[in-house]
Amino acid sequence: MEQNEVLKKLNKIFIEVFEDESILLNENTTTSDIDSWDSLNHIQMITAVEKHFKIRFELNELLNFKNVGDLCRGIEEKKK
Amino acid sequence: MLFTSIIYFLFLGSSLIVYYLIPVKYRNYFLIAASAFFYMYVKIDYIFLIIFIILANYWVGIQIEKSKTRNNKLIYLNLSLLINLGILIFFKYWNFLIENIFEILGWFHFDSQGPLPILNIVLPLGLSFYIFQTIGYTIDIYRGSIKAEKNIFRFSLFTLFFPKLLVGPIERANRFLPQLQKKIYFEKENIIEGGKRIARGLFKKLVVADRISIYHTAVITSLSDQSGSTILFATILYTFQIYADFSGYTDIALGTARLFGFDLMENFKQPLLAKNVSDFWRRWHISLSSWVNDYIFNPIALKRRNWSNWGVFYALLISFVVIGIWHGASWNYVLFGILQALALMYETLTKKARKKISKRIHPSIYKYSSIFLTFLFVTFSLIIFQSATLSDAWSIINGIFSNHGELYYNSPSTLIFMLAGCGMMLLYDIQVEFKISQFSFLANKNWGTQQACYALLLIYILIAGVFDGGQFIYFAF
Repeated sequence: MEQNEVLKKLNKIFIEVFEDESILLNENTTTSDIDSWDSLNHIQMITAVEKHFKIRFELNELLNFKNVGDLCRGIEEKKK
Repeated sequence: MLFTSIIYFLFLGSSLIVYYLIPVKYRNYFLIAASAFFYMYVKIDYIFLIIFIILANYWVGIQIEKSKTRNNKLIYLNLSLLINLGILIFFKYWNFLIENIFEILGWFHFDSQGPLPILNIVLPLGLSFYIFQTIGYTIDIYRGSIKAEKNIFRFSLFTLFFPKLLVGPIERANRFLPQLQKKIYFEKENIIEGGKRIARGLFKKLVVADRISIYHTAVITSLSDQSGSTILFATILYTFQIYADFSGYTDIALGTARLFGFDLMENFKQPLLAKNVSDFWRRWHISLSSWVNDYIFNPIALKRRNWSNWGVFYALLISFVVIGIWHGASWNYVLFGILQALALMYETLTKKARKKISKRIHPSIYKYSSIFLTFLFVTFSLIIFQSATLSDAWSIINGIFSNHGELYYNSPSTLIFMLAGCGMMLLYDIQVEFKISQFSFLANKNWGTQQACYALLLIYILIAGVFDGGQFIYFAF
């Protein structure tokens, strides 16, 4: 799966979970860029991502994601 | 050495002069010596404890990084947790644990023979702050998000740096260690901005917090003689007091660090204007709440993400009990934490419903009523926070609703100084929060106006400040 494709799908999931149509993700997006991205719905977002891509992250992987780019690469690794 | 004492400013002024006079390469060494002196001035005994903590974490950090396998890394991480938490529990929670264990044993008729093994120890100042900082440091190395610091002097200063040593902010290694590698030169801007920040902190502490403290203590220590309106007023003022006290301290800490060319993390972002409780915790004591978020809430909630909301609730409860008990070994802090966790659970469950309501009401009305309700909740939870026992808290709540009568104040000037102080502090926050430039006195774009406002602020501190006031509330934590 191409990174662009992953990013597009992620964008859709983010819009749904954070209920914010205006979200436009790029690789450098972090929690501070999206108002509604707090630690409570971060968990919901991760669950939604895992469900959509049918993958399961390790706890260590999840704790090391610094931005959307890291999450994209994490998904691609799992999909290989 | 109180941040508001003359001796502190003598120490600060002389250290600053020496700091900028000596060659750049010696400046960090000088700061280590100055910080050690600062700590020993408070109480000389505990310098050995902090030296041990520095050496232990410095060594463990390198061992975690050097370990080849995940398992070995984990062994060293656990060793670091054992040392850090062991010291914290010994000094802060030992008596509390012993008393409660024997209390529970008593229920089953296992009565102790002789006196309990209670220790007569004093909590080393700042321990809860710098222990959390070193725990964060070793976990970050374990997670691979930072490299271990190989330079013992840099690591010592990371732990000892006196502006944040006693009451935080609880710094993060990835923010602060890189600053210690830079060469710091004299910049006029740092002195001006640092000085202004200190002035704002002194205002909050001496004019707002210490003035309210006199009134609040008088009311709370004579509850049965006070009217409901007086108790309610004192309770509301306490929210302003604790905010002014702690954020005033933090302003002085950040201002001091800035004088030496360092940038410490912000601890408060207009918390009294939070729109809900989770928003409040993103604005209040940020260095602690984000620490708990990164090292406790996130790992637990992510691990239990299959439990859906229950996983989040479980993580919230543990996180806020930790935040509560971090303040001290006492059941009122535990209850304070549980209350916060319950509020956040409620907010998680009602998120959709609240969003629906918000669409039906005028946005401004919704916003301001949310701020008001959040303030009420915070004030209520602080009743528990400020009471040593549950029955003390109940006396306050009961007093608010039962004793009718007039508002007590010993002189109109007491009332005016308190309200003016709270008003000025709140106005500053409102101006920052809503970016209203008309109210901008201390950040006025006109240089002359801004300087005049700072001059007035200093005069006001001299007139209305309480100079024989006491400790900072957070010294006790």
